[in-house]
Amino acid sequence: MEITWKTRSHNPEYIGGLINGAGQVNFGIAIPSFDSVLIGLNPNSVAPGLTSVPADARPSIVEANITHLAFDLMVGLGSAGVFLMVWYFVVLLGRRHLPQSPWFYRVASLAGIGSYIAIECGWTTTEVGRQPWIVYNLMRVADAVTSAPASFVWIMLSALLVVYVLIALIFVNVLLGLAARWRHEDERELVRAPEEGAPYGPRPELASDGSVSPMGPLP
Amino acid sequence: MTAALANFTALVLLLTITAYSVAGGVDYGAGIWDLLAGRGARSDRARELIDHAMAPVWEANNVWLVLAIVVCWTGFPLLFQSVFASLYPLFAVALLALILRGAFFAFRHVGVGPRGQRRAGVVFGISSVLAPFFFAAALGAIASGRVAVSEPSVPVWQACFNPTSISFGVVSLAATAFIGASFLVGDARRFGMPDMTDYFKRRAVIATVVLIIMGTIALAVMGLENSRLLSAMLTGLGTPFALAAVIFTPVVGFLLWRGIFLWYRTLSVVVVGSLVFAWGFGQSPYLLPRQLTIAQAAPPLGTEVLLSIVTLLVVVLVLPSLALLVYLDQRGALESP
Repeated sequence: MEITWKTRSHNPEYIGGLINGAGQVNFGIAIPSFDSVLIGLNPNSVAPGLTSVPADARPSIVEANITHLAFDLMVGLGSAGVFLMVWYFVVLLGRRHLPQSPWFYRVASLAGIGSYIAIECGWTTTEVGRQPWIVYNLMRVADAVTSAPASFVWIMLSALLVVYVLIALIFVNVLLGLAARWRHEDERELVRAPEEGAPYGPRPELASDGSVSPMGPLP
Repeated sequence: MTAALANFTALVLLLTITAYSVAGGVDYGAGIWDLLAGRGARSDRARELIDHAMAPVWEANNVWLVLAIVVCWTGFPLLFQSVFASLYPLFAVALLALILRGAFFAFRHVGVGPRGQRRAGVVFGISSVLAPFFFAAALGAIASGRVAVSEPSVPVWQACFNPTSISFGVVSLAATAFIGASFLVGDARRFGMPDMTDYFKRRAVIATVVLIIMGTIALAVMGLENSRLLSAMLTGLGTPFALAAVIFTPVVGFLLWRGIFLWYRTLSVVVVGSLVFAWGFGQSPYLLPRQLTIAQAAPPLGTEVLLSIVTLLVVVLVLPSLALLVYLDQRGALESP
C-alpha cells in the first residue's frame, strides 16, 4: 500500500504520489519517517520495499500505484467520516442541539456515497495489491482461470451487467415513484408509515372479502 | 476420525440441500402459481394471498443455498470444482433467475401502476420456474454420472442437458408446485379466505397428479438411460425414502381432495424431503457416481474439524432464528396491528 521501492528504515509516508519503473516517487506529499513510525512506532523500524519480492511475484508498477491511491482514498474518506462524527458530537454535546449549519447536512448526505466509494477502494486495495496471486504465495491468478470458454465468461459478465443495470434503473424509478406517492399523500394528510407496503415492512391487514388491496389507493 | 467427519459433512450438505428444496420449494412454488394464475379478479386475489404469504420470508430461504455452497467448497473442494467445471451453464441460469426473482418480487410489491406491477410479476414468476428447474437439473446431471472429477470429460452441454438432468428438473418443478400449493392452502385458511382455500386446494390436487405422472416418467427415463443408477436408488440406502415419497404423495392429494386439513403440510414436506434423500442416499457413498466417494473428496482433518464447529454454530444460531421467523409467520405475529 506504500510505494516503497527499497527496504529501509526512516521510511517516509507518501500521501498521494506515483512511483515509476525506476523506483522514484513523483508528486505526493512525503511525511518523513512516518511510515516507519506507523509500522513499529519508531522511526528506526524497517519497511520492506517492493524490490524485496522477486519481480514476477509482486504487483507491477501500475498495480502498485492503483493500490496506493485506492488505499489513500479509502483512508482519506474514512478520516473525513471521523471528522464529520466529531463535528456532530462537538455540536451536540456543546450546544445541546443538532448542528444548524447547512454544510453539515450537505457533507452528511455525501457521506453515504463516500462510504460506498471507501468500501470499493478497500476492495481495490486488497485485490489489486495481491497481484499476481489469487491465493497469496499459493496460487497465481493465471493458474486459477476457469476451463470454461472465454465466450461464456464474456456472455455471463454481460448478462450480469445488463441485469444489474436494469435492476438499478427500476430501483431508482420505484424509489422516485414511492417518494412522489408519499409526498402526495402527505399533502392530503393521509400520513402512512413509509415502511408500509414494502418487503421487510409490517404487513397491512388483508380483508377477507378482498376489498382492500395491500397497496392502498394509488395517487 | 476423518472418515466419520467426512460422512457427517456429507450429511450436513444433504440436509442443507433438503432444507433449501423444502423451504425454497414453498417459496418458488408460490411463484409458479403466481405465474399460472392468469388474469381476472380471482387471480388478483390469488396474487394478493401469495404476496401476503411470502413477504415476511422474502428471500430468507437463500440462507440454505449459501450454506450449501460454503459446506460444499470447504468440505468437498474437489466436488465443488468438478461440479462447477462441468455444470456452470446450469448454475449461471439458476443464479440469474435468483437475482431477478428477489428483485422483481420487491418491485412488484412497491411497483407504481398496475401495468408495472404485472410486468414485474411476470419476471418474478418466470424466474421462480427457472431457478428450481436448473438447480435440480444440476443434481440430476451429477446423478447421471456425467460430471467427471476436476475437469469435464464429456462436452459441457452434454453434461448439463441429458434425459436424467431434465427429468430431475421437471420433477422438481412438479414437486415445487405441489408443496407451494399445499402451503398456500394453509395460508388461505390462516388468513380466512375460503374462496382461496378452494382455489389452491384444487391446484394442490392437480399438482399431486402431475407429480405422480412426472415422477413415473422420470423413473422410466432413468431406467432406460442408466439402469444402474435406478437400481442403486431403489435397492440401496435410498429405498425407504423413495418408498416414503411414493406413499405420501397420493396421501397429500387425497387429504386435500377430501378437504381433510390435517397433516397435509407436514406430509408434503416429507414428500419433497424424501425425494432429495432418495437421490442423496441412493448415490452414497459416492458424491459423483462411480468416480468420487465421500472419503476421497474429504479435505484435511483440520478443515473438517473447523467445518464441523462452524456447522454446530449454524445449528445454534441460524436454525433457531429461521424457526422463530417461520413460527411467528405461521402464527400471524408478523401482521401489522
